[in-house]
Amino acid sequence: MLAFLLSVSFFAPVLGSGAIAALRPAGLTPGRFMTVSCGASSIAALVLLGWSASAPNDVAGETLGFGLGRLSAVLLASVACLALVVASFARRNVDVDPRSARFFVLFGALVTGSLLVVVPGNPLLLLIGWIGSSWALVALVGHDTGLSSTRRSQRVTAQALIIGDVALAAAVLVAVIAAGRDVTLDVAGSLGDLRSFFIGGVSALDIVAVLLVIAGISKSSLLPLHRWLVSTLAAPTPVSALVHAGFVSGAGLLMIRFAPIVVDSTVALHAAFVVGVATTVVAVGAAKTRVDVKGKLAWSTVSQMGFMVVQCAVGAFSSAVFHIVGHGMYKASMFLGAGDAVSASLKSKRRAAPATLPQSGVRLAASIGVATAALVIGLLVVPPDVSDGGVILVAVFAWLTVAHGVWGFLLRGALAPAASIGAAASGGVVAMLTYLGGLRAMEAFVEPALRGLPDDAGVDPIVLSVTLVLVALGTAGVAATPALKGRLETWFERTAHPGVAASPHPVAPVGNPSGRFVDVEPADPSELARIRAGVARSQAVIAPAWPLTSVVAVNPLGGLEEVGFDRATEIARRELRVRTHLSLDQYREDHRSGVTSSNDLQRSIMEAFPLLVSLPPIVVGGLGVDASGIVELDLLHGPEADEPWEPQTAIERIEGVDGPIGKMIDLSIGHSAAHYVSASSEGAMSFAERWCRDATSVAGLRRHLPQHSVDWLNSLSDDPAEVISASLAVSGVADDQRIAEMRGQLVRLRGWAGLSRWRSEWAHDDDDRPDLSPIELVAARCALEAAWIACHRDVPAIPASAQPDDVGARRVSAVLSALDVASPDQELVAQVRDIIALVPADGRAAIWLAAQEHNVVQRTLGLLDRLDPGARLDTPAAQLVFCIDVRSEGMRRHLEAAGPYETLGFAGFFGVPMAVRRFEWDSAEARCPVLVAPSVGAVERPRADGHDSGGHDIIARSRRAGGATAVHARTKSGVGAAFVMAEAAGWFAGPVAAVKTLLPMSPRAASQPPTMMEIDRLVDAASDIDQRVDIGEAVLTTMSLTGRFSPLVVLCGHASKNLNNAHATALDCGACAGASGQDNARAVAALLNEKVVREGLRGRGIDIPDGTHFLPGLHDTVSDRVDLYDMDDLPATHVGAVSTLRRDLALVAAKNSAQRAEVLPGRAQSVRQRGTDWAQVRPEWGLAGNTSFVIGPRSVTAGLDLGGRSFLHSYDAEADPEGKVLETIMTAPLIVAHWISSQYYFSTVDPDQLGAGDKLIHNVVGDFGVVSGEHGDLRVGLPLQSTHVGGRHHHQPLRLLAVVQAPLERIEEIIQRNPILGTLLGGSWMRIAGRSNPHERWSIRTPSGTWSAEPRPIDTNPTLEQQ
Amino acid sequence: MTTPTEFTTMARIEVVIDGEHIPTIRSLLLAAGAKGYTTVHGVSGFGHSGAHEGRALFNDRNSLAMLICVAPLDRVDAIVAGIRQLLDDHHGVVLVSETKVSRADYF
Repeated sequence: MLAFLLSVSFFAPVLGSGAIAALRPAGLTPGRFMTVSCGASSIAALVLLGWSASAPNDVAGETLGFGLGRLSAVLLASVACLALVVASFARRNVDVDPRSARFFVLFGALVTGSLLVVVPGNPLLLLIGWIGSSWALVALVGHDTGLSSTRRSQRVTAQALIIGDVALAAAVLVAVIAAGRDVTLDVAGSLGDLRSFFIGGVSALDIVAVLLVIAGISKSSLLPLHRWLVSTLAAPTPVSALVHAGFVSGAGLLMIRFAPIVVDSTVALHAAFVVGVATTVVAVGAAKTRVDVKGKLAWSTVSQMGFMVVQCAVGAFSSAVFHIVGHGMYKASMFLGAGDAVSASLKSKRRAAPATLPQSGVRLAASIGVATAALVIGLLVVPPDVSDGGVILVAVFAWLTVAHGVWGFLLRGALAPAASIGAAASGGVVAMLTYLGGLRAMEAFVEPALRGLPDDAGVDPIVLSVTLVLVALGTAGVAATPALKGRLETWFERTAHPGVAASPHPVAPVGNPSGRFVDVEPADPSELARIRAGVARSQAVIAPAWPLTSVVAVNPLGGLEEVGFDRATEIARRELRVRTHLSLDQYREDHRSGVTSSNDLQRSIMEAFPLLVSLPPIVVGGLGVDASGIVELDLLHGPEADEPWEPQTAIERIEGVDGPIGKMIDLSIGHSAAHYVSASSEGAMSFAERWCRDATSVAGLRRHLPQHSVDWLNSLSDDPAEVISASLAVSGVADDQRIAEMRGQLVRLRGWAGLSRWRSEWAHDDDDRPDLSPIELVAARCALEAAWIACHRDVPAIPASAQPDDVGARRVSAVLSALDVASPDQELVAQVRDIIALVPADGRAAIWLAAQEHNVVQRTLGLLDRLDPGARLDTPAAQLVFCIDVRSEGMRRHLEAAGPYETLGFAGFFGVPMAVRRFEWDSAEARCPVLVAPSVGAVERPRADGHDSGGHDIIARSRRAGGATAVHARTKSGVGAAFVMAEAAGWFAGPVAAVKTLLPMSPRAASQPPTMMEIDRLVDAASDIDQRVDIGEAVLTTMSLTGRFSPLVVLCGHASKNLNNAHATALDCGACAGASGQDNARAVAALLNEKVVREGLRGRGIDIPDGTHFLPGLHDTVSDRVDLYDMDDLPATHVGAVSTLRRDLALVAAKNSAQRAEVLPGRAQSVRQRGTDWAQVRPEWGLAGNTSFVIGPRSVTAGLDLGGRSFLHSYDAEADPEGKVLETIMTAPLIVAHWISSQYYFSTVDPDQLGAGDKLIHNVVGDFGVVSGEHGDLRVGLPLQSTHVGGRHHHQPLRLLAVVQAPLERIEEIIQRNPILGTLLGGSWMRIAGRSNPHERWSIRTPSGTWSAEPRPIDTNPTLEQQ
Repeated sequence: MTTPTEFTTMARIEVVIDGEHIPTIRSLLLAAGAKGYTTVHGVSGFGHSGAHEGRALFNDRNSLAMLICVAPLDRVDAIVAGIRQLLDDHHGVVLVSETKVSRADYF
């Protein structure tokens, strides 16, 4: 039985791998299969743990060559259970990834490898586990093949781990030779043999012990082999969780397992101690310099591993076991939840201000006093039963942890000062007792396994004490010496960012290059002004990138709008190095699945090349084939054209686009920018200090820059324009190349440049992030290029552009082959070639795009081409106003089918641009599209009617949450506090992570805030009423609701409720600048319920009956749940109607979710749980699939299934004779929808450059962005999981089609009056169709401004569902 | 009452451009030594690139705006050098004229 259980626990994961690889199990996805395998493994491990706990003298038994005791059972169970949690998490994370089978095969190997290491067994299985897990990890680091740094990360990981593999193999070999038997099972019994066997005069025991320590150093990422762990951030998040949870504890596992050998070898023991202390100190310093979430966690793990080795070295083995398990659980949960950093930051910023803080002296005294008292009580009640050194470690670090925790709690001011100190004191004592109690329990549990060790095992406690005192004194000394602190920080920073190990082509520096720096003339003011303007012009190629705290969709090529779509995309392909269309193969795949027909292709071919009609048919096999037919064959079968990329910057012209020096420069600027934007401690630094210091150290560029280059960089002006002027002169960039040069510099830093554009053009003045500007980035990059080029300019420049591929001949062959012509004569070849030559190779994608759009235009207009479907409801029970967002379309359709309801579509900010301040917030946040500034304020107040305490409860709750967060933050970052915090907190965090992963909760109803949201009142009562009536009139007029009010009108905003998602705000309301529409709905509903407002509106012809009540609501676009708010205001007369509405909304939610489930991967029944599942990388499809924007009465679209692909804006042309409302819709919501459409389009056609890439390897930087893996440029645009599934695009990238029911002359006048519309429609960024009334056919406007009736489709698919 | 002799001659620079470029123009002006400016959003008119409607209800960015700046004559070249370059890519007008100000130290 034991053998069976142990076999299952060890090998179930790897057998799962084998089954996935060999069988491709039907019905179970690879992730599900691996979860089941890891589940079997963990159940077996837990049974073994129970078995070993009940065994009287620890020995549960020996089987399969393994000895299983309590110690190994604890470790086995911990690794197996964490593997199950991570596998289950990865199932939802990775399963629809095209490489998921490979991922889970390697995952199983990694788990089994890690498990084999924790139980004493035969040396062969130990080696297999040790080495196998190393190589499985190296392969997993290479999961994302699209990342340029992947291979480097793999190399760094492999180089470090192979040392450990060799060392362990050598240790086993020496032990077997020396002892003549298997040492691994009977370590203590082998000591005599090892001691008496000498190799080259050194005892085998010392050799084995040192080799074991070396193996541990490698596996646990300790100095000097510490670089690999941070490199593994290129692997998907679940891999990091698994690595940090168990794999990386190799040093501790070896030292515990072979404790008798290690403690018997003074050399090995002290070597481990020194390495442990040094690693801990260095890694703590290095972790502080990282601004990315995963990088910080990785360095924190390195320091924790150092601490673990120190624990082992001082003989505190049971403490080390407690640490391995506790830290493993803690770090696994931190990695799995790493996507939460952005929303955590938002929550933290929005928390209530602290209550009165205790004075700093009181805080310090309380922290020291509470920690000391807690420690004394703890040591008296539950004294640790470990070595003396172990007791010292426990006492010192537990004291530090409690002291920091109390300090953090008091600093947050969660309660009044006296109450805070009382809470901190009791919390501190309870925490200390819990920790020491847990430690004691672990000691008692695993004690039998460690019974044979000598009492004085480990490094002398005096040595430990002296070391701790020296480290403390050193820390205090550094803190007190700013110069030393600065130098040390720079060193830590360099250590924490190993940079790129590039090997540029060897170039000899030119003779006396310093003259090139000296010869540069200072620039005059006009020259500087031209440079500034040049940067302003260049930045058109970069779209502003909003921080992730409030994502706003933009057109990535928006700066090129004025040149039109075709020219802009051509520039983008050739100069910005991005894809602008799907590949021909992708279009063909779409074609095969019915997205386009041959008719669509023919129509788009003839539109693009009308002259083809004049060419005579080609005769093939006696049949004539039209020229357009030849082009169609080329579209269907011709080879792809290579896009020649033209080097843009000086350095690209010298070393090519992917040259290592260029990459180093990119990395160093990105590194500096991340620190500049994240860190508040940068202070006043010169330009060179800020941008060139890191370049010359961190990124490894220093090796390629002679001293006079560095001196020149340090002498640069603080005016970026002057830096650019001087740098361009040094690099030898001609005047007419300047714009291209500066553009090239920005394109290389697309993400950072985008953020800098947002910061300098869109951010509020009071934004707390430093003012990063595009000109600084250009200047820094130009300067670094110049510093290198000046010394290496003799390098022959590569040709400016590569020769374009001669794709023409291959296209001709493909067409002839498609015509089934085996041996064509010369004349036929020439005829085909002449036709093919008319169509540029890179113009074919545009024809495909046009064909897809023809298809959608025909189907959409065909669907909408009908008379009014019937009389509208005379007396709807309720009118519900939804946001125009495409996700409302399904809800509206189902709701109208469910009962006597009428729905309307309106921008989700409900027409009132407001700055909202919720009750507990310190400052207001804008809730309106970014096109417009907030014009009014809105504040949340507690209700006066008996709910007075409500507001105070909100504040108290917010402060309490802030207090808990502050304790965690402080103990994570406080000197020496993180070690005990992590090992203790892990025992709570691990089970919580397991429950969250294995049993995700169902979405719950939102609680009713005991408050009201109210638009700010003006001091003057008359003006206040006027303003409120103005607002009410504007809102109702713009949404075309000025009569026929139902008794109940629901204003329904929307938000996407999901967890652990750095891109969460991209799924929220676009009309509310990436926020929820709840506040606007509440404020506007309250205003429209006001008696004085209604009286005023009556005076303006809008008569809202007294029996009508406006009610705010919020649609959760993940669960489709609609919550209604401010029920306290609901008149008793409406209770019944609301109750019925709620019942119907529940039915509608179920129906809409079921329809959405058809296109979402995973189990249909779990669609509504996606938002509460922290492992879910695709909580919903968001606005994917959006194709059209319909402006008209609901009768145009009512009853039609538009598949959730249309923005719907209510509009009644008859009520708007002057076209003012239509003009507002076309100049604001339509523009925002165009941005959204463009964002989805470009993120789909180039997910690597214009999209944010794969979420699985995202690493949050600060709270504003993500990078892929360890470092690099900021990733902007939508993540791959928003646009693709299973390796294929889910979103069909098309330009937006606007459909307007209004007189064409009125539409045209509005277009003519507003240049932005002229630019977008004339430049083919979107299309517009219109008709005056339902009796007319739809007409399409050509880019040149003429309208032509769209032919009726031959066959119309009755729905617009995603294909 | 102030007499004309107490006025100082300065340059008045007026820029009419799409509202979305206003932040860029402002930063160019300030970097080139201007000490202030006045912005008028939502201007309308007719010219080389056709008609331009004034302010839209919910779109401050895409309507035309006018930026007025007064600066000493010796800074005009630098200010105009940058703005003219920007107008190579966008619709817009830049006008430079002489004006007189009473408190020269403000500019």
